[in-house]
Amino acid sequence: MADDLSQTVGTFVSDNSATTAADRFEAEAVPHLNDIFRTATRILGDRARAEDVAQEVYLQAWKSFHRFEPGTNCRAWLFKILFHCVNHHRRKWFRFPLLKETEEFVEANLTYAEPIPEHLTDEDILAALDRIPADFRAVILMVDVEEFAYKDAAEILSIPIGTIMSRLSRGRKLLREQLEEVAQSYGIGRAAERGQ
Amino acid sequence: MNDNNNRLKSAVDSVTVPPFLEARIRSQIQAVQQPRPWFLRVANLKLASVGLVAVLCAGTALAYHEGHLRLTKASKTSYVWSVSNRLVSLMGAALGDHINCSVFRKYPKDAPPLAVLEQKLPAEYRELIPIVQSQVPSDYRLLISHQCRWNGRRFIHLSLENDSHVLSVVITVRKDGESFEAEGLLPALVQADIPMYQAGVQRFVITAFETPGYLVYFVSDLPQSENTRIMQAMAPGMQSLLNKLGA
Repeated sequence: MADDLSQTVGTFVSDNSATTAADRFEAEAVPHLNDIFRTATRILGDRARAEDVAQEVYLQAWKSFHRFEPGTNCRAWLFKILFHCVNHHRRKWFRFPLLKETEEFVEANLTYAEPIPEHLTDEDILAALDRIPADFRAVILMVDVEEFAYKDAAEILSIPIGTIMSRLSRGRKLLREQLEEVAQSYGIGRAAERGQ
Repeated sequence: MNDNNNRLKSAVDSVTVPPFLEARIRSQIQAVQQPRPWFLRVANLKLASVGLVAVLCAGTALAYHEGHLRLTKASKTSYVWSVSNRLVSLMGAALGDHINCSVFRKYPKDAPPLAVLEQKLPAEYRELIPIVQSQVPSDYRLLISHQCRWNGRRFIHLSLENDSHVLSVVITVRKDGESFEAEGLLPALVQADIPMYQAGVQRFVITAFETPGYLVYFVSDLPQSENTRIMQAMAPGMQSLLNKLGA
């Protein structure tokens, strides 16, 4: 893969520095394509748009790769570009209701989290995730799925770290509620037991 | 929460990535050359600007040195002196007159009628015109024929131009004791028993000879050999005329 990109870019850029940049881009950026695409899919809820956005992310990344500092977190940099593109497309495609943040609302993150019922499928979980508001979903994806630190997630999403924490807490709670509803519909979980 | 995170992560990772996506991204990147870092672009711009300014400065300095940007009378006079003083005085006098009249003065590009040109010369020198015109290439136009004065010395002056070059025939009365040899010059060649003297400075070249009563110069910005060839062709006719005139 590295050779492929080096060769293709090398046909357009003949100097050594450009070939080196192509090699570095191949080694540092391209391996994160799957994560970028999957996150884009979850954020946008549409594979076709996610493909477009993923392509745009990599194009933007390539164009500005000379500004990327070697040794820093390329993955976080790509996700930051992703959310920049998503926000751009969001304005174009959607009218997502913006959340009113109450910064003082920071639930304790250590509250007991009920396990996701085992009988739920990946599709059920993704459907529940897709039903929570996009801003909460973005934070859950960054922190719980991609395992970025709060500080990195705050940088990627361009929001304060306090907002990350509050959205994460509320997002998890909303996700649990969604999963409980799904579980209840299958006749499993606490809610189902209480109802019967 | 870790178990839940793992389930969530596993669910998100279950989404398949289109196999063509990577290829499509490569194809897009192929079409876009990565821009050079800003500092290289700025450095290139700065270098180009510095280079341009240097070329302009050098061009301006050269043009000034060659006399093209001498715009005021004082600066023109200064230039004539700076150039003519680099030659022996008899050669410098003729060059000074050539630059002063033919280079710096703005004459109409269209040649005046021959009758007008003849009227501006004393009658005894009017025969110079056909002698000169018959020997210079036909694309040269006779623009000046007059008497003039430079540095206290009087000259008969004919000046011709084409689109590239300016030529002058300059004649002055020889004063007592004046000769090119007395100024340390040796003849570069002898044509029809006429010793020819040469000099040059900057783009100007001079070929000269003397008669008992006159000093005769052909000044131009032609190559020295071409300048001398024309003077050799004109010299016998001019010598004959000037010898008739005496001093």
